[in-house]
Amino acid sequence: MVKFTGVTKTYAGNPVKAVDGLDLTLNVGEIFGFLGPNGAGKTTTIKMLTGILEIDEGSIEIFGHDIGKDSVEAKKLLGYVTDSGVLFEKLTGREFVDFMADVYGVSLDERRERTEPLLDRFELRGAFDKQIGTYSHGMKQKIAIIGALVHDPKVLVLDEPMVGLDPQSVREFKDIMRMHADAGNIVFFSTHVLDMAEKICDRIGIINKGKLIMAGDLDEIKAAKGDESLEDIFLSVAAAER
Amino acid sequence: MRNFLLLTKAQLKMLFRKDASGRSRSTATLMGFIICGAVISVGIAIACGFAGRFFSQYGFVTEMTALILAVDFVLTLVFGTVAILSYLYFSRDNEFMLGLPVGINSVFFSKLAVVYVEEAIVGTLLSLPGLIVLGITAAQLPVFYLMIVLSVLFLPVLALLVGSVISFPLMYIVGFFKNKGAAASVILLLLFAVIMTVYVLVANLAPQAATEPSTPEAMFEAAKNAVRTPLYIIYPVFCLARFGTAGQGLASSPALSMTIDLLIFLGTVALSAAIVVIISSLVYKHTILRQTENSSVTSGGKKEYESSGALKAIVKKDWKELSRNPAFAFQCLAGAVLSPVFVIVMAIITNVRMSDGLEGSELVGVASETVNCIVLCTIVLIMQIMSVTTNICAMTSFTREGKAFIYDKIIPVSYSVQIKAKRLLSLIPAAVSCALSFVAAVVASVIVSGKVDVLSLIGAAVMLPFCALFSADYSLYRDLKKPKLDWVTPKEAVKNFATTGIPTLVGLIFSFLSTAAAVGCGLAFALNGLGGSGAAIGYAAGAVMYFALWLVFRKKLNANATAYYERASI
Repeated sequence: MVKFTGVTKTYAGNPVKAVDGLDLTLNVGEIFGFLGPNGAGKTTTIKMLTGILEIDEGSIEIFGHDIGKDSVEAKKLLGYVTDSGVLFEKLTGREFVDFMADVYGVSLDERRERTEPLLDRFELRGAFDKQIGTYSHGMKQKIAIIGALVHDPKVLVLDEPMVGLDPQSVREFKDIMRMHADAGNIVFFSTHVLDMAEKICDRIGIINKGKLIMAGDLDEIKAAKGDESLEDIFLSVAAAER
Repeated sequence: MRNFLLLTKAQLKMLFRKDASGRSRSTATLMGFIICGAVISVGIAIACGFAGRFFSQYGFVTEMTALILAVDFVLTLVFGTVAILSYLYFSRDNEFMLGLPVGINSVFFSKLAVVYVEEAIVGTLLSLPGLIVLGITAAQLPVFYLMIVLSVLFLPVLALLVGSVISFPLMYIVGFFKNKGAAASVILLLLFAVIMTVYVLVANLAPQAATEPSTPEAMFEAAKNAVRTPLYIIYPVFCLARFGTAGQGLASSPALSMTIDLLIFLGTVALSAAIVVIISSLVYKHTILRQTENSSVTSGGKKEYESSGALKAIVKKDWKELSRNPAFAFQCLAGAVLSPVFVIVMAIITNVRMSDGLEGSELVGVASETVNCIVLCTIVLIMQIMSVTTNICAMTSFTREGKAFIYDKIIPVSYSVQIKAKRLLSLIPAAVSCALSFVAAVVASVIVSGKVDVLSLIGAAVMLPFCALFSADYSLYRDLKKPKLDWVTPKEAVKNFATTGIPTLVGLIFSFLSTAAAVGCGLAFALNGLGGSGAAIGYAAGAVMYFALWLVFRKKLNANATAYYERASI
């Protein structure tokens, strides 16, 4: 499991805490949706979880490995898909997958076995040997998730993964996230798409101004807020914190 | 015109405005910039002051002035052409610019104006103090200072217009290799090397005086001619110098002569501008469209999965990202590619001239050893600067990654292994370039003059690897300390004073120091009858200096790597 304990982050030159004392546990086999308005601290949390940003206070443990103290071992368990589709644009899709597989120590057979079905599923086979710079945004997201899954990570982290995707691709992403969680892994993702969060998440956390406002499964959250829709809950939380 | 001004203004704001954190550059960087600039400007000014007093006695001021202007022009041409290729053709904002409801010439010239501002600032810093001091010490007329103003304003314009004209065919050919970045990079580098080689050859192998001068006056006359010959290649610049110094021109009347010279210079600028306007309106849009449009052509690489260790995987990834991006490949590898070419040209020119000049002369002994030493040290200096100490590949190891730096942080590979990969990638082109330059120098020297100073070459061969190691680790240390990851155009990534400017200046200083040691020892040996291999001692001292520096910066890099990696953010 993944355990956030009192995680706090403040950016230089900004007295406001981007993430403020976050305590959260992600359990094996679940999809956890991280919701919040713009600037709430979602991406900062994800960046601390993936080792991109240093944690000012607190800790994040990934299956017993502290991302701050034992970062290499912790990172081996993570797969990450960024929101911006940032990739190595001059590599071909295959070269990118090879690179990711090499740094995670995945054998040739394993990478072939894990990549080939996804290429067909995403209809990416025709573009696999073209440079990523020639891909559309959706194709970049798809190759990014293939690269993130090539080492079968225990924790798949996605930052706004559905932005810019067509409905068919959104469906594929959702199915893959479900499959990955059902295989005994954790999927942790941030999103603005409440409908999607409502449909596929096992648990949801709502963050605003760096603080986790509430976390639980949908029923628990609705019960706590008087059976409002997730949209109403989200909007009331965002408004209450303004 | 309005659109041109609007676009130029917006781009200049981007260039000079402080970044989001409110810091345009650190105080240390700014101080470094001021100190380095001041040292160089003052050095040039002092040299020009002495030269002005000396050369004015022999009527050499026109040539001296022309030489300063020519150096300024050539430097702006070389570095400006690189900037033009990067900023006008490989910039990420080209697509955005093409979408604006403005004429293509407004886009072209606004981008050229930005390059002009940058190049003019550097050119002015380098030449202005020297020219003013020269004018004072050589007691020049007020028109000399008018010439300085004209040179500051228009010399970079002329150089960049010529650079633009060079860039059109270069990019036209590169356009055939769309999305085959590696092939485009090679073509770009080779074409640039050919153009520069032709220029150097034309400028240096021009006919020389057939007879040896015997009196000081005749020597100065011969020297004047030797300087004038290459200056004729850039005749308008020579005309500008003649105008400012009221030198003998094309008419018997000084006033008419000066007017003609001024008209030739300004007319050339206007004509070049007209040519560039016409060509850019015809081909610029088409050329950048070919750069930005997607290709349906698949990569020619193997269509099989390939497995490597983490270190090799990172080196391969970095190399592909570098070599397939012509803008980066050009900036990072131009020195390494040009070094063997320049070394061959230098070896041939100097050896031919030595053979011509010393044949049958009684000065063969000491003079030959002295000249040999200077020639060898100059060749090694070229290698050192172009292949090793101005290693842009090392200086931009982290910066080049831009937003993709995020992967350096998420992959489960220790930072020390990642640094090792960057170090390897920095050293490989430098090592190949040095090895080729070495072989080229030896072969050219043996073929042309039939002799080579083996001991001194061994000395240089011992020093250069340590020099390369120091340069790589120092550059990596500086880049990792404060990488510029939020660049939009490759030019922003490379033409960044903190990232590449300071390491380049430091590299130049140490290159000149080690060369001074080698020349000093070489001359001391030659003049005291100890043989012609004294430079080897100087290079050994250089090796010790670089080794010590390497240890210092390797330790600093390793000690701070984790903190700097953690701190770097996108």
